[in-house]
Amino acid sequence: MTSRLRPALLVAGLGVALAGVTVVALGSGAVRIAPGDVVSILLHHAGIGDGGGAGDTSDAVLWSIRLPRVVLGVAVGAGLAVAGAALQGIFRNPLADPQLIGISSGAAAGSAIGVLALESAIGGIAGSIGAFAGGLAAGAAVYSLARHRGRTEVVTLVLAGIAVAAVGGALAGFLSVIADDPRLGSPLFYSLGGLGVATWRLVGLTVPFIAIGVLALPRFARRLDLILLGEREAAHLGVDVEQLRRRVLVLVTIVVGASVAAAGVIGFVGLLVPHAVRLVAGPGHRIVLPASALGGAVLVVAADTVARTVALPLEVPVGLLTALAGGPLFLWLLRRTRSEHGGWG
Amino acid sequence: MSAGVTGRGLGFEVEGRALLAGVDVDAAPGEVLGILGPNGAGKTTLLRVLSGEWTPTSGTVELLGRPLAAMSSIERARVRAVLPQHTVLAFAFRCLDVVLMGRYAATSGDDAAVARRSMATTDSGHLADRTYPTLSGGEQTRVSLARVLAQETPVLFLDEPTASLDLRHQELVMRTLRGLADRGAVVVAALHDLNVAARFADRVALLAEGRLHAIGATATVLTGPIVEAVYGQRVTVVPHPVLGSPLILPHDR
Repeated sequence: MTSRLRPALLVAGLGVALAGVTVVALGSGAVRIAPGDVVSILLHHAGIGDGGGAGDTSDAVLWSIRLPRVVLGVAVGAGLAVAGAALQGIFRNPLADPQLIGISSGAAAGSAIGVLALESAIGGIAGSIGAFAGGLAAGAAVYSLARHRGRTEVVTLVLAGIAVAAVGGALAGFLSVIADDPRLGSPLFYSLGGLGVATWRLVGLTVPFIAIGVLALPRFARRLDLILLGEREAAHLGVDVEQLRRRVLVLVTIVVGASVAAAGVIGFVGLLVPHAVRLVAGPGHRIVLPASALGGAVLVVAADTVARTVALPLEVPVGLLTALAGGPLFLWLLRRTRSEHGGWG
Repeated sequence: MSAGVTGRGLGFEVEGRALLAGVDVDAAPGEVLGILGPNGAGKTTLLRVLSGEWTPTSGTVELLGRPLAAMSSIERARVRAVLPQHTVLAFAFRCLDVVLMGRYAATSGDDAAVARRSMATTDSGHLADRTYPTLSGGEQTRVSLARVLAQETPVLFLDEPTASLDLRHQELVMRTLRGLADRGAVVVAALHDLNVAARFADRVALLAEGRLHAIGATATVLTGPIVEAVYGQRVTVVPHPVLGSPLILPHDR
């Protein structure tokens, strides 16, 4: 029975962790705000209570600067983790991750091109649209390269992804250096990410797209489970595998495109979080997808809080911290997976 | 037109090489059709073409009188179930969950009850809470077969269902398939063991180099001269001492 309880406990625990890390994140920074004040300011804005006398400065810092950043962190973290879990599912490949198979870098290049070419015409959404187009082009290129005689070659998928990721990342960095346009991020932003540009306006341009994916992808949970059994087997059981892949890939690209346009390329979230969740709760996507969303949100908000407070007044790129914490954790996960399930082969 | 499985003029080519050419087969409800032939004769190819996994480069397949090409994935899954030769599953699903996957296309019935019953039928009920990758090859085959049974389809395609099974489970699986056919299912199984086919198949299709060498009642096809011609191996065929079905004994003199 304990094995049935573990998924529920995991989701509940991650929910509590997300609430806790959110309160800590909102309170941390140059202006410290006590957890009690954080809660009363939030309640005040929700129309409950009078703000508990936390002060106007605290209120302004929390509401206009930190909260959009935390909301963006929650959305980006949840989005990247769900995207990773879904990609690992459709490709039956534990290595699939938006960054590793090139979607993130394609989106970064697309976002830079979108901003330069379209932002004056269509406004702030240009980056997201460019990121979506770039991510989709990269994902489609990698996927079609890896297809051979009706099979997806796992190693080709990863190798093609590495190449496409290199080209996309280089293109984004190149554009950011030579265009010297303040609307573009720095090369560091495209390679290591950052939530420092978060505003409510950016939240409004980003969160709806991520929400579409995070809410829609769990509808594919059962079919993703069937694909893990094998492409052939899934088809025998009634799944239109190619159609499923196309739909999931489009949703993943919407999520990753929006998140890259807003926060650059934050690595390791899509790889680390779903693997950690599977280790606790098993491979079923009904749990893996929502639990990854929560776990990704916790990871990114926590990493971003450390990123902006560890070396005040400097800010460390958040991707450095997800990699610094995520890398060793992932190695440990690999060992655990090998000892419990015989490894990935 | 039979209401079971009908393949007409089936051909399948890959890069100009014909893996299958001009094959006509049919299997009726209530019947076990064994697909036999030496390695590379096209048994698996024929099963894949008949089950819709591969689209034939020529010819047509009908399941229960309906053209397979016109059926959607989900419609196919409600008509036919497929047991591939081996299912590699890297992710650690519980066996019961694997069997429940067989219920994806089902529109009615108690999924959990059907899954439990299917596992009991294949003597894999005790494996329900184990994770699939930790099972032995034979145990995996029985769980996969339970998944196939859980699909509750009128047509079943099986590729070497007994390949990795011990003697008792081999008998168990073949008796199960025989029982399904006796209750009206169409069972089409690629088999490498001629004696298994001789005991359990009503009819056999004998393939050689992608072509149909013979098809018909088991005892009329599994004769010494035909088996020797197709397999290139001396055999003696005698009646089974208990059952009376043909018993094929290879020898080198």
